[in-house]
Amino acid sequence: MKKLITLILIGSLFACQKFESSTSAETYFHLTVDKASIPVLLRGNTASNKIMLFVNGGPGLTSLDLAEADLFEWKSNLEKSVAIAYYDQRGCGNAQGDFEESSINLQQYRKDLHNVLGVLKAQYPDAELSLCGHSFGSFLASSYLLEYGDQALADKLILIDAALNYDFDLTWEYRRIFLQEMAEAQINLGENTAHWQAALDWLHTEPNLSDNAQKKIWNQYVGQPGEYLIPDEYLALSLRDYLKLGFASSYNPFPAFLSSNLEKINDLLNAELEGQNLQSDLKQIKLPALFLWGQYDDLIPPQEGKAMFDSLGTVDHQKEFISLPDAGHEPMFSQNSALQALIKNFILHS
Amino acid sequence: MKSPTTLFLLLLALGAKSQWLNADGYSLAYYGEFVSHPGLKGSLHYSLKEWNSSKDSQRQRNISLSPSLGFFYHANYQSSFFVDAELAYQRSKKRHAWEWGLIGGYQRSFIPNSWRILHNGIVEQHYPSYGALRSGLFVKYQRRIYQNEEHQVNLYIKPSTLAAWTGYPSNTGYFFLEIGLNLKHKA
Repeated sequence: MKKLITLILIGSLFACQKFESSTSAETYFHLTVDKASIPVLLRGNTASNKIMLFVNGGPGLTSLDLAEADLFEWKSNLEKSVAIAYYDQRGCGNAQGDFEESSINLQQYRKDLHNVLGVLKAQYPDAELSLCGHSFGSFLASSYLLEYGDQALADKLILIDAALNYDFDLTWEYRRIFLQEMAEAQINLGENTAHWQAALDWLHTEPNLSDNAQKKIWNQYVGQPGEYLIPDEYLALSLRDYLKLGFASSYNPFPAFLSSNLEKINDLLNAELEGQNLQSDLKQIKLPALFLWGQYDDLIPPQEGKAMFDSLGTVDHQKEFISLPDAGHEPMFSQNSALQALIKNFILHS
Repeated sequence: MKSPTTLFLLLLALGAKSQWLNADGYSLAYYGEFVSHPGLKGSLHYSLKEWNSSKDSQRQRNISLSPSLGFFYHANYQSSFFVDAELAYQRSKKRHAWEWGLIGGYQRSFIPNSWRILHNGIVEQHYPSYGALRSGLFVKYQRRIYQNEEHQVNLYIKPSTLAAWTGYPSNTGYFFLEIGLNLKHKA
């Protein structure tokens, strides 16, 4: 009898969580793909049959951290209406396993993403799956749709300040236009006209921005609005957040904060990404799509985002480009309420 | 009160057993990964060298080697079994002792609630695990709470940090807090 009780107790430690439909579900599971154990947290209203899979940027950042700390405040808002799945990509955060460095590549990342969607589809066959990528995560999501074509498992696409182009010469052309249009707008508003007129005068003498000296001057004129528009308090964790992460969360905070993986993954994937541009292929994507862009995203200017949006193959009435005022590259912080409302409306009503 | 008494009796019983293994002492402890994720750890202690301080005969010094066995459970992340060897330097006076040391060992981690997609598209649950070497540092404070002619029992607290060398990604960090009882045979 004692042995039986012991076996039951040991078994209960490893018992799996059920994939149940609920208005406040929280399921944490691992997905094994080619020697990697990828952690997935599915949380929110699964009974809605609407699941959004968030694909984080970086490359090399994590999703589980922001989900556990609820940095985007989606838990108390967006997750009441839809379910959101968060996962840590191979080699990042709480992903585990003993795999080779050679598997840190975009093709493998797309395969991992396909498998995450596959498990969600298998456990919630009636659910509509939306892919939501931010920055590099948008590249991953979009290139996944392109590679897997009809086999891709997503029903809708949401891109937030998407990095769909890693041809940096082209990006600097858009950044030049970004400065020009911002300067003209500020002069029309009568704001700091001497500064912005000087910027325009400088741009007239610089038809191409290619060397570091020019880029530095561009930065001085732009003033890095993406940075100063994000209040520090949005990025700060309280003591309670830290205690919760460390002592009560379902994952180990050490890998994400103390390992050198972010730098490694970032270097490996950025080397592969450099020069790639999805723009000419985007016409093959025909899913309903929502593009959300920070008005002052100086990293990937909205002008570049609009050009990508125009290249998308989705019919006009099923796609929308929305510029978020007073937001930089991460509107999840500076325009959080508006962003959540737009995502919710797109997923539930489009 | 029942649990500490049981633990104490278990300690004495295992202490007798450790004598059979020629150990100088042994310990049994709660082993919490990041404090709150529970585990259990048992160790045998072998004294390699003991001497008294030249300035104060009441101050004792000791170098010991301690093989250990244990596990910890972290819901949703991983549960691991481990085997460690610890090399420690101890300074003690009267009822109190401080200890510093190095840890080296091996752990096997089991990933809970794991799924995979088979080639035919079927999603099935499976039970992956992987092994890794681990190493780390610790500091320990202990206080004597009981002694008779043959044994002394100490209560101790021991924080430690470890890295498990998992291949790729290269390492995973851990923080552990160990709180337990240590039984030492008197020479």
